Amino acid sequence: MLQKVEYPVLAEAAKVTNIENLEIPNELPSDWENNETFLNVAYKLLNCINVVEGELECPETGRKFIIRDSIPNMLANEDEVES
Amino acid sequence: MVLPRKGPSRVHFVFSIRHMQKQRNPQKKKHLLVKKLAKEGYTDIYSSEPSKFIYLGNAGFVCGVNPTYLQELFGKLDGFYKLHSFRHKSYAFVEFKTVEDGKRAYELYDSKLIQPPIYLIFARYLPEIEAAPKAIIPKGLSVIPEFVSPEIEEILLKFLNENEDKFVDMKNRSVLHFGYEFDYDSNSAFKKCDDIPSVFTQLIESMQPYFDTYYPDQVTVNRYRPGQSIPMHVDTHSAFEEPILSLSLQSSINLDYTHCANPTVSTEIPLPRRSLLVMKGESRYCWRHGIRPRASDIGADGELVPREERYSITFRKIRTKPCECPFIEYCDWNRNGITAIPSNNESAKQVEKTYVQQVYEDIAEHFSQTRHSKWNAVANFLNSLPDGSVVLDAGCGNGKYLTTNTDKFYMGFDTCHNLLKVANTKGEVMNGSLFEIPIKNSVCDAVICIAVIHHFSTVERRKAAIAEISRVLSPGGKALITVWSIDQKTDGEMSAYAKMRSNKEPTEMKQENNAKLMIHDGTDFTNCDMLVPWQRSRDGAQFFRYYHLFYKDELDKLVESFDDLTVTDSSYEQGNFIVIFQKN
Repeated sequence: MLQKVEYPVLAEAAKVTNIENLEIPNELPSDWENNETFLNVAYKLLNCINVVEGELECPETGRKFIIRDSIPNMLANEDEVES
Repeated sequence: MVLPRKGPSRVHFVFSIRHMQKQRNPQKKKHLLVKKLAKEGYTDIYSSEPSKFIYLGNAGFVCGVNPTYLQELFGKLDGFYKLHSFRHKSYAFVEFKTVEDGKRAYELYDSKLIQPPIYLIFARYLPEIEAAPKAIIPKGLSVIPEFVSPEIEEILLKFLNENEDKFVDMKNRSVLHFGYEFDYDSNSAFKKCDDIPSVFTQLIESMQPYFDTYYPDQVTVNRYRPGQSIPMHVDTHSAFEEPILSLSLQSSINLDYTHCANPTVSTEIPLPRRSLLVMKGESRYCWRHGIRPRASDIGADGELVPREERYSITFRKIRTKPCECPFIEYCDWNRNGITAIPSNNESAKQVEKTYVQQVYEDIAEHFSQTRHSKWNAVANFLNSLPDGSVVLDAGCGNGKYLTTNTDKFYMGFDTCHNLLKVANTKGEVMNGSLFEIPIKNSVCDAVICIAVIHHFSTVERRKAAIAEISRVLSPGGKALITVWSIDQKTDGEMSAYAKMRSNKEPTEMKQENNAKLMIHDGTDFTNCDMLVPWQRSRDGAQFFRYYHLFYKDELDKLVESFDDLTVTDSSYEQGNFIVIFQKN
């Protein structure tokens, strides 16, 4: 899973959630596969923390996607998509 | 056993020896039947002594025993008084004038009727059977009894008899038109014919309150001899206004009604002699009606009512432009494109918005309750994936599959907000579309897409969805898609008969405008693109979902049209095609 995720983005997002006592490296450590401490942190981020209310912002366009009741709304509007 | 006769005739019969042989162990069976009756509350009905009442076990309408047959067996016997049959019971009663008459009948038939087996038991009295459950009456339908006096009926019949030679014989009835000639090929009436005769003028005047704003200008007389019929049909929406009025002369009859969107909803409406039938609203637009080829009907009290020769005179107002009824899906044209089979992306999006997305929002709660068991094929597919696989459920609905394994990472998305609220309790979900899957390229080890792609209404859109699934799959990743098959019965191969039927209309009379999405009426799928009814449980509201029904190999070919996709498994199960493929 860690290889499929863009780690820097995950780290950035995690900082915004302001979780105490969680050491989140900015970059994926080179020894991540064996680094127990890091793996525990990663596990928490991916599986245990859920954004209930908030928004996701596209770094390229600035377009915001709202998260409500844990469900992000990723539906694009009519005018944003070429048919 | 009654030999049915085709066409107009008096009913006559021949006794076959097969039906009068010895029953096997009738005592045991009778014992059980008496116990059954006791359960219904008739505990002391059994009589060991001869009686003028005889209970007939296994002789009910629901057993498939036609009261006509019972009438034939007992009607000709000395002292026969009355047959009591009940539409909703498995038994009947026959009543004789005296005990002696009953005894004779009993001795004649006891333990001898075997095809079908009927058991005779003397009854001490005739039970008061409570009425059958309240009959359904189609909305907008009413029957006005004694609309004409016997004197007027006589005048009308005299006129019809004088014009006997003008009647045209159809397959199972004879017809005569006035005003406009009814064209049975196009199911409309446009050719002018003989004027409506003056003998009907007074009648039409008295019908004016029912027509409200106009006078009928088309009259069809149907003559039915006992045993004749008319197939189930809807009076063509665009050909006639509402209401449609029909006067019954010389005999009563029971008219069958079946709901167009739900064939299990059906009822019989008795039309007494001289009564006027008024069909408006739902009864005129959303129900099929017809007359079964029988020689008798069951009346309101369960009594057998033999049919006589009957005339119906139907009064209608011709429409000059396409129908504008409020029952859009039932209509005979596509209503300015609303129910047109989509031909481009815009109309496709509109149909899917109305007949997929909005419907699922409206039925989500009830729908979710009916979607709880997992398919073996899908569970097996998911179980076969390596631990740690990232699995995407594209169109996850209520999230049924999101909890299948704890050793894989599941994500789901759907367009239906109300279903996602349920899915949210089961796993990681998003609001998203199969046309713009909110996942980056090549990250999914597996994708499942269960019963989704058949909701996309053009081949381009179905391909686009598969293209998106392919995009998010990692190289070597696998996907499983299920869709509804057009053939619900065999192994996915449409039988020659089914293929032939798929171009024919489900009822004998044709329905107009093939460019329109037709309502699936519960029998076979007759077109590739249909509206399938859904009745919401909490209030019985009727919804329609758009489906594209797939032929065998259609989905396989769609997948293989992509250079980098290969089908690895293809099967048919319970009316669904299941295709598993891999990305190279």
